[in-house]
Amino acid sequence: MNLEVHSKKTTLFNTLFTKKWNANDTLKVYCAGEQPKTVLLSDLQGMVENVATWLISQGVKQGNRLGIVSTNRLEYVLLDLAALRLGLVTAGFDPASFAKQQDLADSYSLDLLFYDKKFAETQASAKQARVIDTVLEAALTPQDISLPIPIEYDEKDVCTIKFTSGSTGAAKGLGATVGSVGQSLSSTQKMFSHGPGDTLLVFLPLSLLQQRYWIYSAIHYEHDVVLADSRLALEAIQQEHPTVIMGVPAFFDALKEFIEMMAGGDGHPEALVNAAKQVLGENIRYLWTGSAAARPDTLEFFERTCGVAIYEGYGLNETCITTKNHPEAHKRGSVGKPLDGVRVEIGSDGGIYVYRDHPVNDHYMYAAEGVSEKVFMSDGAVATGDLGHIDEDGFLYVMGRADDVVVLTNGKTIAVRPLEERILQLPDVKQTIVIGTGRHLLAALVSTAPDNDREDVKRDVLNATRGVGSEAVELVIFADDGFSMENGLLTSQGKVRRRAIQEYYNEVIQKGYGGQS
Amino acid sequence: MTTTETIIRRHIAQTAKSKGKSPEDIDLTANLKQEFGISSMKLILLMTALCKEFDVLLSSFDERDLAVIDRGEDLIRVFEKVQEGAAS
Repeated sequence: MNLEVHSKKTTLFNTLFTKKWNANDTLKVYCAGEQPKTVLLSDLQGMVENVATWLISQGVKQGNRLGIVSTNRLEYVLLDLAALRLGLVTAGFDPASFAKQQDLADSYSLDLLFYDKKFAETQASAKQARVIDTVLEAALTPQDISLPIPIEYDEKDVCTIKFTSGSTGAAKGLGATVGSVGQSLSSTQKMFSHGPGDTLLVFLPLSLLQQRYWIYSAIHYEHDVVLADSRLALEAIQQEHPTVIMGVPAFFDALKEFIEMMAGGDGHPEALVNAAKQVLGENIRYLWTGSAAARPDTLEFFERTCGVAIYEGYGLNETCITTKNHPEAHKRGSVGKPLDGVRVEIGSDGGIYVYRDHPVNDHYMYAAEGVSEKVFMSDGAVATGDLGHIDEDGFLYVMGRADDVVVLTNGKTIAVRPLEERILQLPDVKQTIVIGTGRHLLAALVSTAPDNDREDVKRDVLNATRGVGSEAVELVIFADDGFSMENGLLTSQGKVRRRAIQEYYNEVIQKGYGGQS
Repeated sequence: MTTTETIIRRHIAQTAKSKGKSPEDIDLTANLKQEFGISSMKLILLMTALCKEFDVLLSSFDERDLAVIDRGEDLIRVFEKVQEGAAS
């Protein structure tokens, strides 16, 4: 793929540092064990410039690579923006996945690595390592060095490295181009018109580039943004009454349960609406969900029962935000229509292929040999590895990963996602995957509350999948530990790691199938 | 039984959606995740609800407090500590 064929100019990063940041907008930060901090964006600009000059005093130069391994905090924002101001390349490492990897700085050729000592003390021994706490002091201390004029980015410049947590294996590293960030932000803005009066809540890790978008958006489109440690998300919602909550399906599933609990459990619609208002506040405009498939009952709960819009979208690290439901074009169950400058095609193999005016990149920076070629096609497409279809109105429906397909010993090939969605509608089922490759029948591996009657759950699961496709689930196996990030069975974005799950539960699966295929 | 314990028992019973399990039957020494299905996400929701009831902020708990909550008795300990801190 030749990145130079894309001529459309997006100039977001080039204007971000030449404009005066608004004194009416704020960044508010919630961290554990600290009072929330509020910073006017106009003050934030000065702090970022101080950090930028301090970084220069530390010897960094344009193009240097700056790693950050930290949970969400003000210092993270300051470093990220200062790095953009100077033309550095950031690399955000999620502490949950990377904190214990001892050779981060050398493995990823980092010139500086800022680490949070509460989570990533293992990084301290690297010569490039700095404690992230030092950044706040630098932000409040003007340096005796003049700041160069903001650099002018080319659309093809890489400004950050994203790491895929990987639902199938080891993390891959991918450089994200400035053009791709600008394109995603401007097309998202067209759909949602974030602006004065809006407060966006961000609590997913800032190591995910898309979460940092909302900081850039606050500066560029002039709105407030609240950044929280993920554990303080609900408290931030209740204190700040955001207009938009950027989440993932697992969070909204939990939020649904919380609202139901607050409503008193009898399921009365009026009580649920009131509880939703009490929990989400009166200002909510919409909920943003993506990164993994949302449960249909959760989408219905927020939209129909609570009257709160929830917009599902689709995108991978390799494609950035690709499709999105939004106020002007919304079909529940779909992941929306392509963003401006994005084209989605369904291949003859049923796979979803994505073309962008400004591609994220055309290869991985860190991946095993041959992996890039399987994903980044020579015609500019990204082969997502997901299966889907597009309806007559242009809405995309994701049917599952290509590797979500189970091939039974009878030769039947079954896309398991529709079966899983049907099972997940059962109130007693928390999580499930359907398995069966190399076996004679389909089984559902199910996680449920410990005191649910297992016989009832089994019966409901078996009934639920009848008539959904050519094969129904015929066996139910219980996954007592569930699937979580802690046990390594969910990615940091809440996606199931199918292979890891089957390895983890291998013994109970074998037993469930009676020791035979 | 202290007021803190009574409230925490009630919230665990509600969050766990325990069928037929009254707050008095909650085993405070049992692992919240294994015994009641209270995963990390649900634990945050449980703690947020408790904070609301005790009128304290979740952000007043530091990393050490948050890292050691596995059982009902841990919740009692950290909430009593934060309430004492707020009172002093």
